[in-house]
Amino acid sequence: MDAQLKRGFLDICVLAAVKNEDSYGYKILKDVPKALELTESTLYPVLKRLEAAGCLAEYTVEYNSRLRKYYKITQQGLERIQKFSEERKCVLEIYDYIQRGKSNDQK
Amino acid sequence: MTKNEFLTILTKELALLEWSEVEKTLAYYDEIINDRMENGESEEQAVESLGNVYAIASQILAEANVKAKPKEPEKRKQTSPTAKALAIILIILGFPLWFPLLISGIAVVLAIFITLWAVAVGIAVAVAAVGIVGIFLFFRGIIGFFASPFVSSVIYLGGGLVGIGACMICVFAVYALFRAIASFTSWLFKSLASLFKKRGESVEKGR
Repeated sequence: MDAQLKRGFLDICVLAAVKNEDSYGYKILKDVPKALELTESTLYPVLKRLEAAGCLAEYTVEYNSRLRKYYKITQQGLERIQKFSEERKCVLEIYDYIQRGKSNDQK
Repeated sequence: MTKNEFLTILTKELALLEWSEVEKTLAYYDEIINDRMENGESEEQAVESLGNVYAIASQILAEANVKAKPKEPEKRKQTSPTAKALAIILIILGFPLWFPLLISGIAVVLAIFITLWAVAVGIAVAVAAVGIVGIFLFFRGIIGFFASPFVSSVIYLGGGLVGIGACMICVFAVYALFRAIASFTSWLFKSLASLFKKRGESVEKGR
């Protein structure tokens, strides 16, 4: 998948990964769609950015006698997902346009 | 590479960042490696799959720099030589003024500590003395029953008990006093340290 396109989806996908249930780094990595090819070193700045923007809140839980950081979505994060989803129609229109361009070429 | 080696290298490579930031990064990778290992990977595999440590570190550093940049670094560079020279001249010229002030400031803080601890130790010694005298009087009273007149022995015994009792009560007060002074000391040092730390941080951010 194209790097720039991936970047556009990254933040939203991470938000979506914690939307229904609080999650932690390793689980987010596994839950997010494989197509994104999300790695540990890419996820870290994304989490930092989202938290700084107030889209995520974090808390620490003791697990197996070590600490694990959980991320929880905030109202702001939910709104961001909502906004992104509303753009779905526009994105599909763009894809339709590209598709049409292709078929015109073939004619 | 083991997890500890990975985290040690990361710590060294991120030395330019604020410690709180480094700690967060270490916690993140520590957690991920532990999670991977719990999922059946060996320590070696778990660390390996994260990618090159140095690449990870330089990426983190690059992101941190991007955030610090927007504060017109160009302008600052232009003015900094004269400003630096001026600052140095001011520091040198001001030496007769600030040096005695610094020395007297240190002296005042030291004096406060010495006074506080001296008072505390003095009180403690006084309490101990009362206790010791009390014990002596108590035994003097007991021995007195065999040698001295009965009345004076009773007085000795009573005085001794009063002394011991007073000492026991005062021990708690002295203990509380010592604790209060100790916490005051650590508080003062902490606030002094944070004063310097804050200054350092604001300088970092200003860059």
